Amino acid sequence: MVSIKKNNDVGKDKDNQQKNKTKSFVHLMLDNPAFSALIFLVIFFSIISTRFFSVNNIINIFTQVSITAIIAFGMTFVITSANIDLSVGSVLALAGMVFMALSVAGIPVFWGVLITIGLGALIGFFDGFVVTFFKLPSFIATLAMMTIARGLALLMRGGTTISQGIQPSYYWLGQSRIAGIPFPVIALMLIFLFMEFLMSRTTFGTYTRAIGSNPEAARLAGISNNRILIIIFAIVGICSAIAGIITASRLGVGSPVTGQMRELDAITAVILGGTAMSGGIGTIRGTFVGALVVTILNNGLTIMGVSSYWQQILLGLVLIGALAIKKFQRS
Amino acid sequence: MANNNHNILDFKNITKHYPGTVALNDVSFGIKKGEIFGLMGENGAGKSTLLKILSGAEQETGGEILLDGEKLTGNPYERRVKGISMVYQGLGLALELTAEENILLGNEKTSKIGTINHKAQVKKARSVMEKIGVDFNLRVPVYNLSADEKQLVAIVRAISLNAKVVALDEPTSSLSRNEVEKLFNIIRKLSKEENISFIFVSHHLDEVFKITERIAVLKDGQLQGVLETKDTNSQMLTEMMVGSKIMKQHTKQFFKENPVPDSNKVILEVKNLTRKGFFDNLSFKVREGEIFGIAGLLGSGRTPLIKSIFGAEVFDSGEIIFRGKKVKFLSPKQAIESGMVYLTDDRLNEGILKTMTVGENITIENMKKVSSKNGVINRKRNYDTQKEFIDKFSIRTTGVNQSMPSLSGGNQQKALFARLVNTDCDFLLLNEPSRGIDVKIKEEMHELMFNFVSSKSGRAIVMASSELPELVSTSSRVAVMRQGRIADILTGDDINEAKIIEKMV
Repeated sequence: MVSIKKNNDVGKDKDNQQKNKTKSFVHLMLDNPAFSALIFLVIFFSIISTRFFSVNNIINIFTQVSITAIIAFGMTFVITSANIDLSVGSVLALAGMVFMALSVAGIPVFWGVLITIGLGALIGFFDGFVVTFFKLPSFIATLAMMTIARGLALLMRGGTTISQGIQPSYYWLGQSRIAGIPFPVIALMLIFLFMEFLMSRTTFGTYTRAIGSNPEAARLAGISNNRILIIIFAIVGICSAIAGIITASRLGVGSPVTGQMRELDAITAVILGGTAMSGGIGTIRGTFVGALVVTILNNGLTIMGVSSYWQQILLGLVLIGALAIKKFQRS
Repeated sequence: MANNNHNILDFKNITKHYPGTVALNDVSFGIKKGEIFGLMGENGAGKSTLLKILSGAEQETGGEILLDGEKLTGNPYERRVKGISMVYQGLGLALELTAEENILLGNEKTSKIGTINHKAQVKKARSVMEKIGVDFNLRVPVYNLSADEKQLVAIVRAISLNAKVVALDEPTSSLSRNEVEKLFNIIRKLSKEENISFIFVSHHLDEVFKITERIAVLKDGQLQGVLETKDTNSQMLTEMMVGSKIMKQHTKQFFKENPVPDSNKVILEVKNLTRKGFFDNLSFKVREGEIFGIAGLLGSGRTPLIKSIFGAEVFDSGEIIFRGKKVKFLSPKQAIESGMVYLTDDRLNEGILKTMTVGENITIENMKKVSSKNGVINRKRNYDTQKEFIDKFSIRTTGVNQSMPSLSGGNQQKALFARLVNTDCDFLLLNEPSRGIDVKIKEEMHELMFNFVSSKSGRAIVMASSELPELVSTSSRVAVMRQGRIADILTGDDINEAKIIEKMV
């Protein structure tokens, strides 16, 4: 039944594609709701406020988007494989705490970064192991990891932050600039290029989409679904750890309560970017656009002086709106 | 029964299209009041689709259904109120609810403020149960009941709402012989005393003969005919289901002129292979250059056998010797790495990758060929490979980037075959290679298969099929399976439809 329904959708997609051969701008916009939303938001905020379209604010936006986007890149692989990871926010907090604790312990920053990323990978491996070997739905497995990682982060300093005795080199990753560009933005761009390459140009990306599209067909085609899934969860774990390092380094503090609701920001960015919740379809560039929409909406509204409560409401409406346009178009 | 000639239900020119396939094509027949009517066909013949259209779960593309002379419309619940009840193969019961709740689900007896009146519900359920003379515990969750009791719950539920027609989809699959007998008595009683009509879907020939009055046979979405049960026999029915009648013209026999000599080297040997409940003590050898056919009806064990060889399913005991080495594959990946590939019989659910392009669907099984050692895809090589197979197998697409589900069923099948050949494996396991595709592409598929084995040494194909013309046309030898055993292995002139049917039933 489900397959038949999907089938219909895709059949209609093809009709859409043919219509699009006119390549009219309107169609291009309608086909990429996130992209159109991005352009609309940029134009709208530029008109409303002169402060919006300035070099400083653009750098600011990219700095703000870095955390959400880096997590969302990993999340794109997870959702494309028809899974979900709810633990990213907690892993971010735990990674930040561990990173700062390593600093206090006198570990050189290079090793601090490596160990923290290793921890992220390990948590991802564990999630992937639980999902593949115990056959638990990833929603449940990562929901459990969400509370486990948060609990560990809180346990480390009895619920308090780590802010004393941190080596100055540990701030560099979050606070330094290279040629005027903040390091988090450079990290974002490098990770974006790598992940885009991984998704669209490697066998790994192809296998990710194949597993999300039809796991049994993928298995019969000789793909080791379990191996790929475990790597996918390790990747999202690494992404969360990097986001945690940047967050802690920027704030100069390891805090066990950061990153709450980050999983929802990341999922919003992924879905806005055109990745299918049901799996099989997903691009990293789409996710980047989705993350920019989320961030620019918040940034622009803040400049306009709209309260953050209203920002949340608007973000929810944009998400519904973008997906509704897509569905409406398909039927 | 004075109004014996009055049809309670009429299917008129029912047609159903899915993208890429015609599931039902112009199917028309009628069912009389109080009649027990059999519906038969192999997998994918269109039985389930027909039932779904009857229940309102799916919409027909063309034609109409008349209930008591009136056009039947509405959603499944509305149709149930009008008298159409379904008992699906999985029974469709909510296992955590009690039998009483299941029987009155969607039709609860409630008080004025909306609470459920369990006393009234039990009374209602009891009255139906007494009518057919059955008894089971109404107050425990259904998962606590035995298989036959669950079946009874489903039937009581089906007739509790003034049913006129009850469709039973494979109702006996989880029942023992005694329980089947009991179920049949209940069905007979209801048809005689309450004038309820039954549509009985089963692939067990003996059961269909025992219980039905007439039988309709579907094949590839076409109605092959409606028979009086007393005027038919298993041979006739089997012939209709596997379609020897309509495909008489397609009789080119690839191996007739040049049979595969016994001296050829053995590529696959299966020794005493057993999987309890599926197949028992199977032994055969497949030689170089052969297309080794496996014939058998639905449930004869052909699919579990072929999947077990491939490592997609497991077997209990016995040996598989592949190219001189004893093997037991734990996953399809291992089998593919050792040089054998599998074509599924369930194209939609196990074959195509729906969200991906035709090209990607072709190269997915051998990405090594189009990528570097560390997994980076060489886009030119990838495109060239995809294009090469689309041209070589004349797959009709708008290009490598067309989405897979928008292809016709036959072209999807050719793309899946291209996926296998692209692996450079020299041994293919094909399960129903031409299911649900039109005659022209069927012939093309057969040519492709024959070219595959004859164009290079060291190659062979094992092909499981329920289509006799296909087996006769393409096989060098045919192993006929019956109830999990090999009834016979036919060679030479013995490979003909009459002989295969004789061994099948």
